Amino acid sequence: MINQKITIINKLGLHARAAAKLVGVTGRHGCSIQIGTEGKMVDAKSIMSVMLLAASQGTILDLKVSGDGAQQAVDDVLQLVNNFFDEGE
Amino acid sequence: MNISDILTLERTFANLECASKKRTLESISQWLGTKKSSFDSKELFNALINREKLGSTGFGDGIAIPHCRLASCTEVTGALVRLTHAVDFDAIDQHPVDLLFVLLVPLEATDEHLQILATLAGSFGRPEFRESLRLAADAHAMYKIAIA
Repeated sequence: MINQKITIINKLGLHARAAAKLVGVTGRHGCSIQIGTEGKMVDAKSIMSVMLLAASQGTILDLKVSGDGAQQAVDDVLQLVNNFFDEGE
Repeated sequence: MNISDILTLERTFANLECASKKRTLESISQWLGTKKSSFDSKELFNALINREKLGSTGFGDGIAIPHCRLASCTEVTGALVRLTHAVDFDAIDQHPVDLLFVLLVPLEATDEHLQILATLAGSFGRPEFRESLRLAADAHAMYKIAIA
């Protein structure tokens, strides 16, 4: 299993549009992907679950990925998050 | 922030009949325009439809959370709508939508917006919550379920 910390850096945080982009990325991978904080890990392929996190700008989340292609999945998620969910800020 | 803080019985609509996603948002905008004099129906419709163009707010299981920021909105405002017949909403799971929670947010509110989305995701993510709303007899019953 890969454990990766990710920081939400975009201004609006993990709002609905960003959450939709996230599940768009995670949904492409067959491995199991969870995201959240200690005690509140949710399925990163479910948009309703991701929105439960209410992760604002600056929030640090854990990404836990296991299965085939886990590293690629981690890389893809990191790329999206670090690119401000393509929101520019 | 709870649903009870942003929803009123007056903004709960039990049996809206619409044939399409666009007509649904139009009807809701017109209806909300009558509920609050500060809201302009056309401005609201444009804001909601523009948000849909960025990505459907149909998040699966027949639920949609159309939302937008409005300059004329001074506080987070919610509305709950049930359609008599589900409409194609271009939802994430391709299923038609029959339950909508409309969310209107002031221009500046960001963390509050995230909190209320989390609350809505929590409630609407539960199958029992969705089903009880679908089975509710009228707006009053729906309202009681939503704010519980």
